[in-house]
Formats: sequence, C-alpha cells, structure tokens
Amino acid sequence: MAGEKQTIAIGRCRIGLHRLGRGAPVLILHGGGGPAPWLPLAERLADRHEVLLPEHPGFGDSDEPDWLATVADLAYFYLDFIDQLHLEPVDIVGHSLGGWIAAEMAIRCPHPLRTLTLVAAAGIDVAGVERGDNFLWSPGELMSRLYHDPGVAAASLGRFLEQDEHLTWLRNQRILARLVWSPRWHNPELKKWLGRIRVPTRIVWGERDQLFPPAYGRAYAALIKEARLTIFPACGHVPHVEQAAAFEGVLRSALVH
Amino acid sequence: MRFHCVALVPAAADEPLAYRAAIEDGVGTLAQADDLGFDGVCLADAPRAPAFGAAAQWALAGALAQRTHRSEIGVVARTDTGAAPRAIAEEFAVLDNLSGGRVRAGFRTTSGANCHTLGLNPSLAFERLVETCDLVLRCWTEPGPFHHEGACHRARYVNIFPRPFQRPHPRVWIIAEEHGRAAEWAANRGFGYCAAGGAYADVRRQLRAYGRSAPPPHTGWMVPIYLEDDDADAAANAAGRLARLFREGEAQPPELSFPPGFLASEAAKLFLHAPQGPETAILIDHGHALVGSPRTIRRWLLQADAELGLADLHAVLSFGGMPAEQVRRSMSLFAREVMAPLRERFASAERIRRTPSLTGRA
Repeated sequence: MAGEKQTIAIGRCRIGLHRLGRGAPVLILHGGGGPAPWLPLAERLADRHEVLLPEHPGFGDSDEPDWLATVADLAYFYLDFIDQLHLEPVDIVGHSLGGWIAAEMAIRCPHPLRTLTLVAAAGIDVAGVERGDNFLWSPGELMSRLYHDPGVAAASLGRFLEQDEHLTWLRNQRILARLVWSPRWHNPELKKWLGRIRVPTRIVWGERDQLFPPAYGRAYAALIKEARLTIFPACGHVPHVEQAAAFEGVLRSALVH
Repeated sequence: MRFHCVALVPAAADEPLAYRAAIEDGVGTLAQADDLGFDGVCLADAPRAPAFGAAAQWALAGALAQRTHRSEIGVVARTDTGAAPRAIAEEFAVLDNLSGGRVRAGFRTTSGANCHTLGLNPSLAFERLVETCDLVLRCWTEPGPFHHEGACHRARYVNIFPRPFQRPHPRVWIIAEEHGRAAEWAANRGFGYCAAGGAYADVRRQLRAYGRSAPPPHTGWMVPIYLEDDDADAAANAAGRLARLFREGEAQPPELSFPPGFLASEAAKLFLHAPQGPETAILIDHGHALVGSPRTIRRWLLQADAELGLADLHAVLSFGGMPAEQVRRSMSLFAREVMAPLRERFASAERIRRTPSLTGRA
C-alpha cells in the first residue's frame, strides 16, 4: 500500500519513498506540501505501473543534507536516484516544486526520461504576469487560493488543522523557502535551455491557478518542442486533487505515449 | 549591573516634521541619560518594525557621539540592510574613533518583513548573522587584504579603513527576540547576549540557556520600563504607550514577521500557539514591560539579578511615541530611585564578596 513508506539511501542521503505496483516506472515528484496529496492517484496508477513517490531531501522524515541549497541540487539528486534504482527509461511527473525539479533534470540529462509531465510547474518567470506569494498567505488563505472549489479548500484546511504535524509542516516550509525564496519560485536560466527537452511532454494546468496563472503553462508549452498543454477549467493549483478523474485520464494517456 | 538607556524611534514617525521631532527627542533623551550617569545609551527602532536605513542608523549614532560624553554608545547593526559586512565594520570603526572608543557593537538578525522586501532568504537569517559577525571581527583584527568566501557574502579583497579606536575591537553583543540558536552561538563565541521581547519567563529561559555556556558578566535584558511614584498611576499612564509599542509589532501578520525558516522550528511552533495582542495588564504582570513605582522596579531587577546574574540592563525608557517630558520624568526617577540605590547595593555586595575575612580566603 502507498501508505507504507520505506526508507531508501541515495548516496548518503536517506529519504522516504512510497513504492508500489509493477510495470514501467513512473517517478512522481511532489510539490511544496509534500507527497500526501498524490497518494490516492499513486495507488490507482499502480495497477499498470511501478509508481515511485519519494519525499524530497529536507522534507518530512527525509534527511536534510548539507549540500541542499537549490532546486538544481535536487535535480542532480533525482538523476542519481534514477541511476541507482535502474529506472531508465522512466516517466517523470512533477507538480509545482516537483515540476521545476523535473524540468531541471530534463535540461541536464534528458536521456533517462521516456516522458515528462509538468503539473502547475514552478521554475520560470513570465514577464507581466503576476504570481501569487504563498509565503504571505496564512494556512487558511493558502488553501482557499490553491483550490478553486471552496469545498475542496475547506476539506484540505480541515485535514491540515486535524493533523498534529505542525513541526513537519514548518520544516517543509523552511526547506521550501530555502529552495525557492529568491529568485522567487524560478531559475532565470531555465528558460534558455528548455529547448533541449525532446521527450514527449504534457503540460497540465488549472485555469484558476492563483499561484502560477495559466500563462505559465502556456509559456512552458511554447518553450518545450514536443509539449502538449491541457488546461482544466474550474481548477486551481492542484489538478490531481481537484480534478482527480480528469487528471488521471490525461496522465494515463501521456504515459502510454 | 550596568544600566543602559534605550530610546525607540517610533516607526510611524514618517512625516518630515514628526520624524525630525522624534529623532531630536530620542537624541535629547539619551543626552540627558548620559548626564544622569547611565553606563550606556542606545537609539533603536521599534521591535519588528521596518528598520530605518543603515545611513540613518549611523548618522544618528554619530549625533549621539557628539551629544554624549562618557556613556557607551550601543549600536545594533542589522544584518539585513544590504550593507556588506566590511561596510558595517567601517561604520563601527568610524563611530568608535569619533566617540573616543565608546562604541559597543551590537548585531541582530534581519527582520522577517525585510526578508520579504529585500529578498533575503529567511532560512539563512541566522547563518547571515553568524557570517556577518565573523567577517566584521576579521575586518577589525586581521591585516588586509584578505579573501572571504561564505554562504551569504563573498569578497575577493577585504581591507578596511579605519580600524576601531578600541583594540582589539569594541565589545560585541548579540540581540535576539527568540533565537535559542543565537544564544548558544553567542555564548560559545564569548559575545554578550541580550534577550529582548517576550515575558520575563521567556527571557529567563533564554538567558539560562545562554548562561550555561557563558560567564554571567555577558548577560543582558532589553525591556521597556516606565516609572511613576505610584504603581497604579504608572500603569494607567503607560497603558496607551505600551499598547502602541506592542501593537506596532502585532499589527503585522505572522507570515510577514516570521517567514519560513526565520525561527528555529521549536520557536516557530511556540509562536504559532502564542496568544496574540495581550492586554496591557498582562504585559505588565508577566514582565513584558516593567511598569510601576521605583520599589516595584527595584524588586523586578533584584529578582532578575538573583536569577540570571544580569550584567547589562537595557532599559527602554522611551517607547510608543511617549512625549519627551514624560520620558524624562520617568528616566530621572529611574536614575535617582532605582539605578543609584541598586548600584550602591551591588557595590556593597561586591565589597563583601571581595573581603578576605568574610569569604574565608587568605
């Protein structure tokens, strides 16, 4: 079951890893909130795939290595992860922070990738399009801005408040700030090299994403040669939760490419 | 115990005439403190309020150097102003020469709000403080040019002028509102440490953590103080100013004041669960501020001395936009009825401690 998290060491860095199913490997890189929102979909995908959902270094129970300072550090780490676990060729799915990591991996070393799926991915800046600032949002405001549907936002906030995991949340926020604070949520150099990505790429976005508006998805699609863009209406920053069924359909079609 | 007088410039004094009046009041108050025999003076910005710029800070300290004659001049260099540590080292050194060696060099972390406005990574706030202090001390003590390569600052050639008047360098103190890490680090480096903000119980916890590794003469407490002849009158007349002082801090949402990583996780957790905007009576009862008659204030300070071996009291006698005349009445009362008798009491205790026949030492 996805809930049973194992610990794995990549080099000398131990991280949590949900690993389930059999088949072609799919590596899911979570966003700043941690891996939990991906678990239901990971379990469903395990019917045809080997799903690997790691907890990034510095997040949750994973080690916080001395070398962790930038998103590029995580990109190199996950390239080692693929190498050590012999996952090549692998389908990579990255959401928000995880999307940024995936893009940084793909421009550095595209050959282990079979497909790339970027979901509301951070990593680039679009001139003239204002982004939200999650670091200025209270937990309640964060949920109401991440999700378009107030009911989903309220349910997410309820789960957050029920959990006695403030220390974990604070730790994740601290690491997130270390990685994305400045330049905020992007690498000014990344856009220059996105053209190196030649694998089939799916860009997935919520039309009502307040953190990274859909213009960011369109920019990614324009910069990556073999990219297809899907924008879900009535959806915020977390399509795999808010439009779970539709998102699953899009992702499965991307994975059978 | 050494007594320092601190005046806070209200953050809201942004109109030209109001700001001019505020800084004139602040400098004038501290000049009077110098006349009254305080050991040190310090002009600071309101806690958690946006800092006035580095230029303003050093300019005001320069004015203090001219308007005071014997007291130490405490300056708190914030490590967030964008100034390179070598510029901070030079500013301190100029001021030390200008004042004839009276500077006490304070350092504090960035404010949370400035992490947002200046784009400084809050998760590196403590590291930035450590690196800045280390580099400033190297600037003062090491022949240049030398090369510095750190996580927050890089400089190929570092070689400052002038060097401080005091050799090897001015006394260093660290001021922190809640940083357990800062206390431990300051103790290990032999720096003074001044707890600021929070209830007396929090201050006691911080200073005891600091005191485990550092000798007592380095322990400091910065606390607002207001005196009148009678406890009730003091509380009534300080209420509005205290509310303003603490509202200035509380008006910012926690996401602005304490961005992720700004506090160590445990401290952040404590803060998240702390009550917001306590009533004035609670502020006074719990020792967020010392308000009352001279007898009440003496009792607080004797308790702090007994429990903490307090070495430096930074008495914030001007706060919350308090009129200068009210500040000076309170300050004079403090000097006459608190500082003078406590000095005599501490001096007597020291004489007794040093008398061989009473200590059994030959």
